[in-house]
Amino acid sequence: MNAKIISDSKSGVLVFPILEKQERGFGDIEMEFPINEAFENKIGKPAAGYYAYVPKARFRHADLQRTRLNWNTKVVDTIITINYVFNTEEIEQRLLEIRQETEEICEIDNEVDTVHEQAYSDIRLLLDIINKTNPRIPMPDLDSADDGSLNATWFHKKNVITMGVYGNDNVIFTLYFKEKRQVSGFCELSDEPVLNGFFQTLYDILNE
Amino acid sequence: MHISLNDCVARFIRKKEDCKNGKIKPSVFIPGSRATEISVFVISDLQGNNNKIWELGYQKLRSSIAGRADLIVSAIYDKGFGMQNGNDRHAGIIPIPKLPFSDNKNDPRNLPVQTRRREIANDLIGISNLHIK
Repeated sequence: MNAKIISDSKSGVLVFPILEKQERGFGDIEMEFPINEAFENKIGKPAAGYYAYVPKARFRHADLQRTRLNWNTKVVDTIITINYVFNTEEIEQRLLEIRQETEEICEIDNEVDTVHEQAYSDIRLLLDIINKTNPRIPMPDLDSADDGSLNATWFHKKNVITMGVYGNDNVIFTLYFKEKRQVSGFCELSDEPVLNGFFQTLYDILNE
Repeated sequence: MHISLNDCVARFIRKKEDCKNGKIKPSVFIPGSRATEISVFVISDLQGNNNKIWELGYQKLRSSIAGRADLIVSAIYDKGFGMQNGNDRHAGIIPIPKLPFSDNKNDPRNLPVQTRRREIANDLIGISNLHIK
């Protein structure tokens, strides 16, 4: 499928697919579009930030939100809502890096807490929940903090959103808004209603 | 070392990932679970000499440095925090609430305080200027 990327603003990439006239009306088709490759092709360098962890975007034609159609031309202006597919290998690679970094730092600084093994399991579970229940949320940055937590962080404009786990089946979330107010809380990883509410808010912020 | 409102302090950042894309992650300002202050170093008199500032960070953290978050002391006070003097350029942003069950950071009873410590980290991001090495 041909597509042209016109912006990396908002939550992800605005992809304008170039559809042939006869493609109009084709049904619920799942397609995979290599975002990184597209970035390389279009702007000559790999995508930065969380795109590095999102090698593919999967979307359904039914998800397309058509904003302006012009069937007389070859180009159909269509905004695709991207469903992200988190790459397990990339996640494991990043967690391995974090594990190595943390071990090295703990050796030289006794004020830094080690990351509990269960925290690695919890962050995997958290990412799995996010991707399965809210595939439109992009992959976050992953890191550890000195208090032994593992954190998923999203930046959007001047908003900063984090979810942190310590390995006790709980997650702490904070939303720091550009106007310098913040909302925070915590819940169990199994608390679907609270998590879903948070994910919706997260999605809304990322799409501001 | 006396710290004045006009002083500039730096929180050194070890990991490149914590300051990539020109943005500071909140985790930079989350201290270890036993800490009751966020360690920073006074760099006012070194400003304009980045090499000396990086050297200071390397000496103090005993590891390579990826960047630093600079804060003006008056902005720290404006956020409702204070500063604690230390030795040899060291200072601490206070108060950082102590974990009530700090013998086990995974104790879920610590969650309210851990959440508060994260809010403080976010507040400090809002008044920080990032410098990448």
